[in-house]
Amino acid sequence: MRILEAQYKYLKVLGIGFKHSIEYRADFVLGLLSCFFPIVIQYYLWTAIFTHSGTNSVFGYTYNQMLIYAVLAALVTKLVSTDFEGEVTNDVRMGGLSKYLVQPISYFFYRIYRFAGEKLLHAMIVFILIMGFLFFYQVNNHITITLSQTLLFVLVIMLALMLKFLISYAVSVIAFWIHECNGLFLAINVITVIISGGIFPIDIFGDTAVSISKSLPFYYLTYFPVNVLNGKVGFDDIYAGVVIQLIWIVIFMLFIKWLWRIGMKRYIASGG
Amino acid sequence: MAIIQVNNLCKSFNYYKKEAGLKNSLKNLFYRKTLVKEAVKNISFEIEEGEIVGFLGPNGAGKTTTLKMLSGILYPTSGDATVMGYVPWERKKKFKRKFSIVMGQKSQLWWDLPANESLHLNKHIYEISNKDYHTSMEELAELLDVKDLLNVQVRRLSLGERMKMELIASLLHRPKVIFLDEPTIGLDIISQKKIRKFMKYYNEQTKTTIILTSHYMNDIEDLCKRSLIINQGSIVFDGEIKKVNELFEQKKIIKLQLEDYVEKDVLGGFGTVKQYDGYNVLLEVDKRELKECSKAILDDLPVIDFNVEDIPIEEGIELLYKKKGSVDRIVEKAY
Repeated sequence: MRILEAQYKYLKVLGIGFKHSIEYRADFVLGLLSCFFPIVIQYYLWTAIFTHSGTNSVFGYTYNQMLIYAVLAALVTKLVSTDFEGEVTNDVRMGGLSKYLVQPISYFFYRIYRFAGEKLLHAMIVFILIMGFLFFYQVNNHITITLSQTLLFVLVIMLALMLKFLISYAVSVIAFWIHECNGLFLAINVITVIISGGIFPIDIFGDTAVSISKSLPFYYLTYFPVNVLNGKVGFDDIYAGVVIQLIWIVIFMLFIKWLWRIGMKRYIASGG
Repeated sequence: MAIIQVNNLCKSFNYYKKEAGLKNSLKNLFYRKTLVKEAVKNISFEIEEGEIVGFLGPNGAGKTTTLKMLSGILYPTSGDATVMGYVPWERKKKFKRKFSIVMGQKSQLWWDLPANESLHLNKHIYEISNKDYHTSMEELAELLDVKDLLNVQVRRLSLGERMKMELIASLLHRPKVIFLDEPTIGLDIISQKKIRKFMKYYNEQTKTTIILTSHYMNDIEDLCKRSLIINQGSIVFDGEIKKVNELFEQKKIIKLQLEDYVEKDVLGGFGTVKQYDGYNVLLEVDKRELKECSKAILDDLPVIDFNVEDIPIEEGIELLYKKKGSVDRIVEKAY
């Protein structure tokens, strides 16, 4: 009974996150629009490159494969995006964190459930967009989607979300040391998107780039899930990838725990 | 055993000094001098179960910092403390379920939610059973007279109404110890009175231990049998607030109204002149000489009105605030 009660408080937080996402739906729609502009740019970019190269394949991608990658990568990047870093920083800087420290609730779990609640609706919408896009291409015989691929994608994307949450959380804990970090977050965000393959597929940079990025967590945020979906990786590689995702999740959890413990000693609970 | 025990608690903060101007900003990029502010210096005290104790002191004296350490928000730099047998900054869940802190300037409610939803969330956070929740809610909402405000969004409540909600939120789980950090700040006199009355009643009914900080003398005089006055991080007084003046030389104030103009020098012969305009005079005299002095004044001066008063408490406290050094001596005297 006690355990159930303890879980219930976090479900309540999840509900708050969900309500929040409904309340601020215009913000989400505008955000979604913003991820279409890069797609338009990529469309013209690749059309120009392919018509002038005179070959059927560039970097081992056909024209349609490249466009499919660009669109899927943009949507997946949107799906795994996080925007709570500023809130964490504010809580640390302005002393809002104190409220969670005196109540029997964990700030980390509060953030996870709140994130999950806010993501729920958005993730479903993006997922439907992805499926709609793939269905359109399947009808045109450019790609084949199987049920097992789709299910594996759902698993991989959930782990990618978890991993992205942990990375962002670890980054926002910087607030204990640096007071003004919005610019830093922006820079980190852009770099993360690029090295996770959110704009160009990583393999166009060569085999070395792929093998290096395979050992980094970012590879598993966008590039890997997209390739699961478009069938570029085999089942064996998918399972190996899932294991690496899990390993990174554990590593980041331990890292955050350590970082938080030393950061808390610096917390000054300003204001009030 | 005392419910709250504090031994030699210290807290210092590091900070940097920066002079104004672009040149100094650039200089600061390369070299910054770290300065240390000792917010709390070697504080020790004990509080028994059921007591209401007031913390008094000027801004920046260390009252809030002390409360933050006692509620586990801040780690101390050195020293130790226990609250109900727990070390606060270990932040044990069991400990958190037994106390609460209300900060007048920092809301713990959820601004986007109506008050009752915010309270309902607290029910789950503190894992309160349905039955207990409803009884407490009924009782507290009745006592504080906010029954019809419960479904209003928190951000739309007035300051006084919000403060009452904060109190309800902090009392739902029936804490044994409550820290109130300036609970009446910014409230009008009637709201202040209501909250004071409520706290007094609540303490009498439940024997909850309360520590309260405030700038308002009324809060302290009404509620607290015992007060700790903190100045510059140290306790300079511990006892009943009315006895503050006993710390100082035993002085009395004589208030005079005179029929004719009297020179200041003449009055100086009777005691220290505190206020003077020729006809109305405040004289400070030694308590032991009060009798002779009064006699002399009445005999020698053209007195219309004559009053003997104590030095006001505020003035005594002000003297304590201003006093630097030789603090230990004063504390000894208070016991």
